Amino acid sequence: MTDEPILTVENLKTQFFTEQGVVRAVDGISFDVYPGEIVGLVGESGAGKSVATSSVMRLVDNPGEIVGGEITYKNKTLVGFERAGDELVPRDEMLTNEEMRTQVRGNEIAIIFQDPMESLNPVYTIGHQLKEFILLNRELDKKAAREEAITMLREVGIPEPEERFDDYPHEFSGGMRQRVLIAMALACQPELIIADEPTTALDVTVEGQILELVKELQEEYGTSFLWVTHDMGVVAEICDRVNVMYLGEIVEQATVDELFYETQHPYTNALLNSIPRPDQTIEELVPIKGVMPEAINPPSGCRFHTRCPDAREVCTEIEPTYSEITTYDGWPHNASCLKHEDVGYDVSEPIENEARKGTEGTEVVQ
Amino acid sequence: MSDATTVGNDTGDIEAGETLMEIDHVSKYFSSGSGFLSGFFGSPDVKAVDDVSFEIKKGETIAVVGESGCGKSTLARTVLQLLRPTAGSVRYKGQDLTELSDKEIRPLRQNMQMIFQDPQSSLNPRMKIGQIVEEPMKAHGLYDSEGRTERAKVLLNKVGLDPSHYNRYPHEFSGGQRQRVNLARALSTDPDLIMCDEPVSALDVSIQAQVLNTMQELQDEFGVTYLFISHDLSVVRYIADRVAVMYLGQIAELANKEELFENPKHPYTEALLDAIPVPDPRATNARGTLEGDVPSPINPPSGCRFRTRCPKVIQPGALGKEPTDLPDEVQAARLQSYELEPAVWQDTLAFTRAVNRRSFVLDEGESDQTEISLPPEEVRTRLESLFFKNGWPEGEVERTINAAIDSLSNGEWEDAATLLSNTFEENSICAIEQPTYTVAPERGDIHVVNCHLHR
Repeated sequence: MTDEPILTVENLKTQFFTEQGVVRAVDGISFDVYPGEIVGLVGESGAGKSVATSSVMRLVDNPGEIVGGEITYKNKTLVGFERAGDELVPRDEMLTNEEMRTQVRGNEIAIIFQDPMESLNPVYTIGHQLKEFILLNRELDKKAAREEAITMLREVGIPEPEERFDDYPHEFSGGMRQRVLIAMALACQPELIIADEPTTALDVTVEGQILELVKELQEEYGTSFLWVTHDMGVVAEICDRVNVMYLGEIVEQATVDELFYETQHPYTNALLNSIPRPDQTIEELVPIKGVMPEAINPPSGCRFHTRCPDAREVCTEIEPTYSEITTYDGWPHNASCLKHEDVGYDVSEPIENEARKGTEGTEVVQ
Repeated sequence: MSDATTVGNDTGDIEAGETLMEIDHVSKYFSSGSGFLSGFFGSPDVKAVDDVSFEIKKGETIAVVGESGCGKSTLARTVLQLLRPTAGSVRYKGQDLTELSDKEIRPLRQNMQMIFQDPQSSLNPRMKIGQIVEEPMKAHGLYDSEGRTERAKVLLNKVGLDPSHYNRYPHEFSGGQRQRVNLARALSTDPDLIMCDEPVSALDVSIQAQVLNTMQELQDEFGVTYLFISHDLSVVRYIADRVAVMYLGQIAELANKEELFENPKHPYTEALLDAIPVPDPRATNARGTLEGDVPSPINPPSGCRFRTRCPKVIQPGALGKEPTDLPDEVQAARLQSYELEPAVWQDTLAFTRAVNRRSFVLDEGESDQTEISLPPEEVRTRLESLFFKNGWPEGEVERTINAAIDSLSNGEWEDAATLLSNTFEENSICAIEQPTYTVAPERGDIHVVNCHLHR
């Protein structure tokens, strides 16, 4: 831990102002990414993973808004606020939208999305799009940009790159398109790549190829990754450190080995117990009962108390503090659970919630 | 069955474990052309399912796994006669369904129900869930109106929903709950077989486990048979009794679950199992990544379909046994026996594929490798460092590779690729003969391995 983190996110809050009320999609999360690291962001759909990454890229769209927190990338302030009277206003050193576009997106931080078909323009050739991206972000002439584009296509394992250069996105398979997006992200030699579920839509063999490719490329270029996924298998395979998200909050953060073997939060534990394993036959899965509540009106106290098998009376009243439980090899292991706090969890009565009910998931989403 | 509320399997004309359906050499081809011109000129067929045979036993969960585009959904639809097969027969309790007309099949459909991947689009948003569950019973004229309502409520309870939600609409439920409504609907006619096409793929992991558990409980209670289509081997390992692995329209391997996962024989199954990320950071994962993409089913590779990506292609003439009943062209190919060291053969194969895919460069300075011109010696030195680390092949193989080097040194990649491919790939037994073998299983009672390594 001698290096400085290249990305620091502190107490980030992103909210969506809808007719039904304020959706607190990301509610005060903090994490950092060090050079050359793959950091995971895990959680079920609706946990706020993608909103968190869009906030880092400042791509949150109306009615969404970043309402608080600090995001620092190297020496640049991507998000920063100061108090002016009663309100929080953006600080002067916070990058303007134009500076975000010219200085950060693409050449410093690149992003790879889940659906490669939607990220590529169907009316331009693959080569054209890749070349345009290189021309915009790097000082190369047209010929050099074309050569760089072909080299990148070959690097990510596109067969016959000279000929495929002039093909359209629909002529590529899903895995190939995802490779093109990786080539695009790498072409501008960014220091950080945000990968938002990049392998979720792919077949296992293709996913395997992409994960291998990412590992190789990371060794070669030393790029850092912020890897968003819901797949604990992928996490175990490539991540160095992991953040587990539930309902807009990070509930646990640890190195990958600690997270799997010294799990501190009941949600992480339940998540690990609910997944079928490819490497062993499990007699009976233990599912997490119920469904994730809406972020518009999160449960009081600990947000997981409605589904937590270990929930007690006190969990409905006191909001747990996200704090360091242990350290491992210099890395902190953080979790937010009242079990680890001195607030009378041990003497509190267990509560009747969905985890203890006989039937599963009978409540209705209105 | 007289009482609408008894949800058990009634007509026990066959026992659990006996054959419910027999799928016999079933093929399904689609015409790839559209419009009337393609009718005149003829267009190549997409061989979505090609010569597939297996049995479904009563009360079991048989899973069909494979990558997208391998034909697993088409196979399932063909089994249920939602698509009529191009060739082959499907027998349900001994009765050949392919010979029946649509009208004759219709009454049989109450024994075969379906659940689809997307729980949202498979429920009519304008119908209440009670009506949705009653619909199949109505279609098959089962029970009177009150009996249907009563049965729908019983079923909703069985799948873990509150029967008092009978009058709610699908949008009021979450994804996992909607899939439960689908389950209740499928069970309403008391079917023998439920075809589940990726039933949990659209659900979150925690919800997946809930639905899978409910499916197993229902099977234990009603003795229903599942034909489970999935791409997720972890889910299959949890729910299935027997597993068929499909690749490009054909079954590569079929065995009991434990046998398939613990003792996989087909290189494709091995590759699939290797590819899944294991949720354990301490797992030592030596992954043999598969190269390339699945070939087009319009013009699938000859012989074994997997041979274009298989890491274990058998070198020409290298079969240990001498069966005398081989076709002439196989005998001819067998004469060219190279007897390379296994490592050198692997290198030769890797080199052949790399030339095909143009995945390496000979001249770093030139982006378009078809425009280079290099002396052959330089090409050879570069290839030696890239591919032939285990020594240079000798004899006839060396002559072929030298000829390919001459082509490469003039930038003629196509020529080199054709020559290498024709010599090394097309002459292998894997390219000449379609494999169909069974081996003695270590666990379970059946193990089909369609791979020449197990002849």
